[in-house]
Amino acid sequence: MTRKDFLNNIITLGAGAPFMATLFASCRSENIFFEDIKPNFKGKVLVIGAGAAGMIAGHILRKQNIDFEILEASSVYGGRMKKLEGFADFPIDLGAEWIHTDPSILAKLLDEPDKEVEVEIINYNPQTIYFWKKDKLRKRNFYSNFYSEYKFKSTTWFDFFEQHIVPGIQDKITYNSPVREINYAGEKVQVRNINNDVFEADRVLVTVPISILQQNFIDFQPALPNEKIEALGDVYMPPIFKVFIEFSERFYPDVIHLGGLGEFLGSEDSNLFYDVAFRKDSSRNILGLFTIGERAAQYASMNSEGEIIKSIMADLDKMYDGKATKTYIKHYVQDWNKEPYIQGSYSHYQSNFNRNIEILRAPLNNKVYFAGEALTLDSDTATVHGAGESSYEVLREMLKN
Amino acid sequence: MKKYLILICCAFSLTCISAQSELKGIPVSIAYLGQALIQPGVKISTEFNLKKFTQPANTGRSKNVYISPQIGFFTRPGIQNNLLVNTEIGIRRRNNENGFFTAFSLGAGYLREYQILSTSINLGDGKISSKNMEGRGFFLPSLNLEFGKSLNNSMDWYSKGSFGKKINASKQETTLAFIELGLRFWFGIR
Repeated sequence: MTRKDFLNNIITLGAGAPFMATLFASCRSENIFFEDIKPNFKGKVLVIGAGAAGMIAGHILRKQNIDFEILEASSVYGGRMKKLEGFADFPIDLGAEWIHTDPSILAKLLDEPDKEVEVEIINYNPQTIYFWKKDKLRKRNFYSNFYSEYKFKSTTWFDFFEQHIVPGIQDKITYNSPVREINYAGEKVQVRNINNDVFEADRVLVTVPISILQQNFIDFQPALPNEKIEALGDVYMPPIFKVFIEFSERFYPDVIHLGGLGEFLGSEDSNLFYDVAFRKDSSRNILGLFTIGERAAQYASMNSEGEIIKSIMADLDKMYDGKATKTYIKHYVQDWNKEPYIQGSYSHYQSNFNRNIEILRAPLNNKVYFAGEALTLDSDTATVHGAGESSYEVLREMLKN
Repeated sequence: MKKYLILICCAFSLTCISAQSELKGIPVSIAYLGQALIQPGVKISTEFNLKKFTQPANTGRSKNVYISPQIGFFTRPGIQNNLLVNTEIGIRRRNNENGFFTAFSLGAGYLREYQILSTSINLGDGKISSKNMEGRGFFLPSLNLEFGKSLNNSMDWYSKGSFGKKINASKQETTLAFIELGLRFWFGIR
C-alpha cells in the first residue's frame, strides 16, 4: 500500500476498512490495459525515449510484428531506472526502486504467459519506523500496520527490463539521439535529432519525461495546442536526490521519516532514510536517503557532493549522537536533477489530475501520441508499472487504425 | 518467548479450573476481530465468573469479575498471518433493567506472527510459486474496554476496543489496536 493509497483508504473508508482488506487485494490485480491489443495498422512507429514506457512500447510493437524504432537521447536505456553495482553485495536501484502494486504486474507487463522464469520479490513492510521532528526521534512502529510495498530481492527494476525486455528490442534502439523537432504536418511524421538526422514514421510515440516537454526541448510543428501547454504547466517534477551510505554498524531502524505525520500524509515532498539492505540477505549496512522536494532542492543548491554528504552526516549524527561519523565507510550520490534528459523526479499534478492527464495524452492529428509515468490514469502515475501501463493504453488506441 | 507461552497457558488453565466453583453459565463468544482497522480476523472466547458482587436489589445493577480465555486469528493478506492465545481478567457492570453493560479488562497473550519475507513470482502467469516465511513469537499485554447489550437471556452483542503492545526480546515493541464486534451466547443459567 503506498502512502497515497493509505490516505485514500483512510479517508474514503474510515471504520468500514476492516471489511474491505481482502477486497483491496483483489482489486489491485485488475488492470484494463492488459486487454488484447488488436492492431489494424501496418506502418512504422517511432518511439521517443527508452525509459520504462518506451521499452514497454517497443516490447508490445515487437510482439505485434509492427515496424518500430526507438530513439534514445542518452547513451543507455533505462531512463529513470539505473543500478549501482559493486557498492554493496547486492545491486542498488539508483532510480525507481519500489514496486508500488501487486508484483504480479511484472508478468502482466511482459504479457508472455509461456515464460518460465521466476523473480524473487521482497515484501517491503518496514517493522521499525521513526519520525524525526523538532530534533527528536520518535518511535512510530504502529505505522508499520499500514505501509507495505514490494522490492526486487537480488535484482533491480533496471535488471527486470535488461533481462526480459531489452533482448527483444535492443537492435531497434538508436542511442545518443536527442530529438529536437517533431513535424507532424505532412502525411508522415518527420523527427529530427540534434545531429540533424531525420527519421520518418507513420506514428510517433513520445515517452520523454514531462520536464523535457515543459522546457520545449522538442519543437513540435505545428505547435502544441494551447490546452496541452496549459496542462503541462499544471505538472511539475520536483528535484530528487538518492544517497547511499555504508556504515560499519547498523544503528538505524528500517525507516526514518524526516518530519511529522502531517508532512507524511499531507505533503507532496518525500524525505526518508531507509535501510536499503532490508530483507536483502546482506551482511552490509547500507542506509539510503530518498528525498524529493524542498530538501532535495537545498542539496541541489550546494556547491559539491562533499557539502551534501557533510549535511546528511550532520543530521544523522544529531539523531544518533555522532554514531554516523564514527561508523561511516563510503557513500554514493545520485543526482537526477543533473541528468540532462531527466531533470527531476517524477510527475506531481497540482490540480485537475484526471482532466490534465487526458489532455496531455490526447494525440496530435492521430499521428503523435504520448505515454509515460505522468500519463497514467488512476493511482498509477509516478510509477514504473504506471509508465508501462500507459504504453499499453496508448498503443491500443494508436494501433486501432 | 517460550516462557511467556508457558506462563500464559498455566494462568489460562489454573484460572479456568479455579473458576469452576463459581460457574453458573458458560458463554461462548464469536467476534470479528480487526487489527489496525485493515487487518481482519476472528476471535472465539469463553468466560468464567470469578466473583459476583451483590448489589442492593432496587438498583437494578450487577457487577462481576471474570476471566476470559480467547483464541484469535487475524491477517494482513499477502503479508502476515497472526495467531493469538489470550487471557483477560476483567470487571463487568451490567444494568439489568435495560440490558446494557460495560467491561474493563487486562489481557496477557501470546501472539504468533507468520511474516512473509519474500516470494518468488512466476513471470509467465504472475503467480506466487514459493514463499519465504518467518514465524515470530510475541508477548502481548493489553488493555480492553467493552460495551454491549443483552438481546435476550441467552445472547449479548458487544463491541470492544483493545490496545496492546507486542513485545519480543530481540525485536522492537509495536503497538497494536484491535476492534472487536461480536455475539456472546450463554449456555446454562447466567
